[in-house]
Amino acid sequence: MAATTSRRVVETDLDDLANVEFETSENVEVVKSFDSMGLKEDLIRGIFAYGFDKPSAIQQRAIKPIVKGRDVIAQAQSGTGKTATFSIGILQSIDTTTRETQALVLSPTRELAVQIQKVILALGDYMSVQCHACIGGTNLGEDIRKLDYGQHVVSGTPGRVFDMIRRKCLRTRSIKMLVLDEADEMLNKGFKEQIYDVYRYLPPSTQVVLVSATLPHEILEMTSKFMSDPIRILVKRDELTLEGIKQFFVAVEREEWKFDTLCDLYDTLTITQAVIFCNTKRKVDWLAEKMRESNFTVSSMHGEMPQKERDAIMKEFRNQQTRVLITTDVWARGIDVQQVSLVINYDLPNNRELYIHRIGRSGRFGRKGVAINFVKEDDIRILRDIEQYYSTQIDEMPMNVADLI
Amino acid sequence: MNSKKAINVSVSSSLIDLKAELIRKQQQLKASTAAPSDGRHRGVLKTQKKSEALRLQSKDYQKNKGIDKRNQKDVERQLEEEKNLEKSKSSLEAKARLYDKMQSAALVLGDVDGDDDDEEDGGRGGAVKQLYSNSLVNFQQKAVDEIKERRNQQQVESVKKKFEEAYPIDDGEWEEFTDGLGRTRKCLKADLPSFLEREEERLAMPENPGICLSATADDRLREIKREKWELEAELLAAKDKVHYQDILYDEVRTHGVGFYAFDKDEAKRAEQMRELKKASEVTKQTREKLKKEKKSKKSALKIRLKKIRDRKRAKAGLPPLPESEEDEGDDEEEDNKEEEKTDETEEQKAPEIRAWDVGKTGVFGPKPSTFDELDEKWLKDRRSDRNPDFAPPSSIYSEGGLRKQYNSQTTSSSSSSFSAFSSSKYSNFVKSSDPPPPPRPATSPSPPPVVIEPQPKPFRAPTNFWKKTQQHQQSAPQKPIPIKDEMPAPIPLSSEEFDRERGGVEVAPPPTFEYYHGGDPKPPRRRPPGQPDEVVIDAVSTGLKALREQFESRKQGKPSTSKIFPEFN
Repeated sequence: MAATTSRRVVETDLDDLANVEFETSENVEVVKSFDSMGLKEDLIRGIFAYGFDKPSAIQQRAIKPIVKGRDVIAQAQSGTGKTATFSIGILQSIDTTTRETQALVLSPTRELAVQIQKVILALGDYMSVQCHACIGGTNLGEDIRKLDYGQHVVSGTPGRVFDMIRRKCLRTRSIKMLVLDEADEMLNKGFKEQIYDVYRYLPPSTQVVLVSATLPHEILEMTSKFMSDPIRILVKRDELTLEGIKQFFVAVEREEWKFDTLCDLYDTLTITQAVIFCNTKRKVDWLAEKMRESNFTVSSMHGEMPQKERDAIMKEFRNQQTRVLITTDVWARGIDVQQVSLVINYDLPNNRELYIHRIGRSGRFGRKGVAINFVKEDDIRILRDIEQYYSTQIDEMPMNVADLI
Repeated sequence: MNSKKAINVSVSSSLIDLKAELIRKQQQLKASTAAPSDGRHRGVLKTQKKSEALRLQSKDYQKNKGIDKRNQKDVERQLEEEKNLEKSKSSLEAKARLYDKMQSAALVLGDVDGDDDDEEDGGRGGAVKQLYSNSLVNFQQKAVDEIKERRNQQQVESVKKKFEEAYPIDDGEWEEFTDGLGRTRKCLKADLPSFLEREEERLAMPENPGICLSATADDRLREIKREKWELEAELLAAKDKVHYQDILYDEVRTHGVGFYAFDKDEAKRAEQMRELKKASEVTKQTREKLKKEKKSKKSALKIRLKKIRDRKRAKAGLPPLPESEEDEGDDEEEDNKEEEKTDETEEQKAPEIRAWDVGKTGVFGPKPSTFDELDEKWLKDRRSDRNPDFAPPSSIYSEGGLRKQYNSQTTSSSSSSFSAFSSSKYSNFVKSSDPPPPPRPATSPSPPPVVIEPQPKPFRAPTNFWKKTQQHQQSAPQKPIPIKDEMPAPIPLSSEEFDRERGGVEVAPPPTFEYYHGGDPKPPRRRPPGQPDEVVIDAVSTGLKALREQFESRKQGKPSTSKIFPEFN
């Protein structure tokens, strides 16, 4: 990290920051409408066409500083429009008359990168913006060709993006902004090195925007290494769960009974759309197979599947062709399917942050949602810990759970 | 023995019940035998037949007397009737024959005497004519009608025949077949192959993609979709410019109202974009134009109004108003204000308290603007330190308690008791510190306080009298004044206000000393007699005088009133 040559790095002793409590920056301006944000007309048209009519809390606060060019750390509850926030910021900042890449968005999963590309293209539909999804598992040649043509924005996963930079297919000299979606995940052990690798190739004055629903303290500590005087818009952890997402648990004595419970719930699952989370890929395969054996229609997806299959399953789910998706944490963060109103934690997540992200797949942008946790005797302790940590309420599942969806 | 015992045990009423039941059953049976209902009737008949048969079989069956005789009579009568019928039938037939004859003859006759002139047509002809004219039936018309009808029928039949000849029904051309759902249907032989083909197609495809009956159909649909998307992806790879529509892939998503699904083709998309921008430009221009028109209308109206005002002023002999320059600026300000207003309403949507909400649980009416923290604290303190001794006693809710309360009240002076009562009953209400209470409902019209203030005596007086009368009239105790009626409104009042508000109207006029001692029989009056009349007369006369003056001055052409109040003219 010391190799980071950016002059913007503020050298601070880590021990000092450990005791600092990060708070939302003072004097964060609140802009109550898109019209008064001073955005391009074509962009505003795209925003309204996409379905936003009034900015959400995070959009009211974060768009302006991003547009101004400040480094921003933006935290907001799941499904409240964070992706749109930085997308609008990007679209307002870029110059579409040149065909240089001016913004780079990195996200932890390929599906999320594609989704961000989609949002940017949708919001920028009237300003003929070019945005490319640069993700692994796709044709390299095609990627190179697209980047050669010129893309204003690149949304991708760190591995492929870094690859493209090294091949000099992705020219970084005009990049003004780096956005890390799901920043806490991106700066976690698995991705941190890759992020820094990419960061090293970016111009020194690059604006950095971090976005996530969960930003643990250690991540905030880390930000001083590559951000200068960032504007922080944070959410206290006891305000992180959404009122609209009702959380329940079903206590089972033995692991095998979870399956029966799931079968009993199947009718409820198919009211709209549902996502079932397991902790391992093997378990996803096993559960999907078992459900199909019992004549339930389900689809399943995890990171070990070929990219083509993953794409197809995503398309089918977004198309509402399939209603129940059994998946791993590859689906936990950021994926936005409006009609998902029920999330089932077949296994409890491995950390508190993932719990927030998983249940956040339902209840998108003000919609209602229900999360049901299957817990064994010894899991209840973990659930109670989560409940206490976020000052939320997780009740035993009522009989009329279908009415809440 | 048994039955006797039973009777002994049973109560007489149960016996009556049994009897009633028996009668009911009998009536039921009767009704069922007489009922016209088919099923019932049939059943009854059956049983009757059965019983009859049984009766016939039984040894002691005997015929009633005279039955044979009656039977004989019936048979005779029947024969007679038959004869009569035969007779009438034959005569009717004869009549019909005659009529037919006459009808055909009438036709001929009608042809002969088409004109009415030749009435003298020989004896026979005349007789026949006579016959026709005597009969009530218009045979001629009848004959004509019949011919017409026959002709009509012939015509219809010939048309039908022609039609059938032109479009003959050939059953050989129709073919029966069973469709995919197992229904037998018919179609032309020529169409059969196409029909069968369609059926096969239907069998192959699931009817509704949403309801997939079989896993195979589901898989096939999925394959179709996947192939389609793959094709789209290939096309996309070949494209330079990628747009939202290209990567949407049939996603189900709710977009905004203004969402426009552009064409995937670049040229078409550009065209659509141009159209859209043009349309929005036109909208903008129209909006601008309307705004301008509105403005010019407004200013024109203002000028006109000013002219009218000036004219009026000229009539009154005043110089015209000076030109006001601020008017122009006003419009802009108004527009801005409107915008601001909409913003504000969006921002603060505090639940407004409507007039009718006041008094509901948790709603204590709007806080006055002067109500500050100190007031709040004071109110809180007052609420917390309420003396339980001043709380309404529990006995107040019982009948006896009411009277007791009342008696104890009478010992103290009435006004003070009122205030004590009101404070004890209402001190725990939040509203006791509220701004002046609203006027009471008009159920008890109270005279204006001005009249009462100078004469509060008759109102305060009763206590003493009351005591006295109680002593005097022990034999005829007074009905206690219902306390509830005294305080109909839930709004607490200070004792002074209370007295003023009450005006002594709802309370029955207290009996006076004179009343019980044969003095002045009139009930006590609020005003000394005579005085009000004078006042009224005075007022009326002054008013009339003023009116007359006004009228006369106008008659003389002096614009006295208009001069004083130019606006009212």
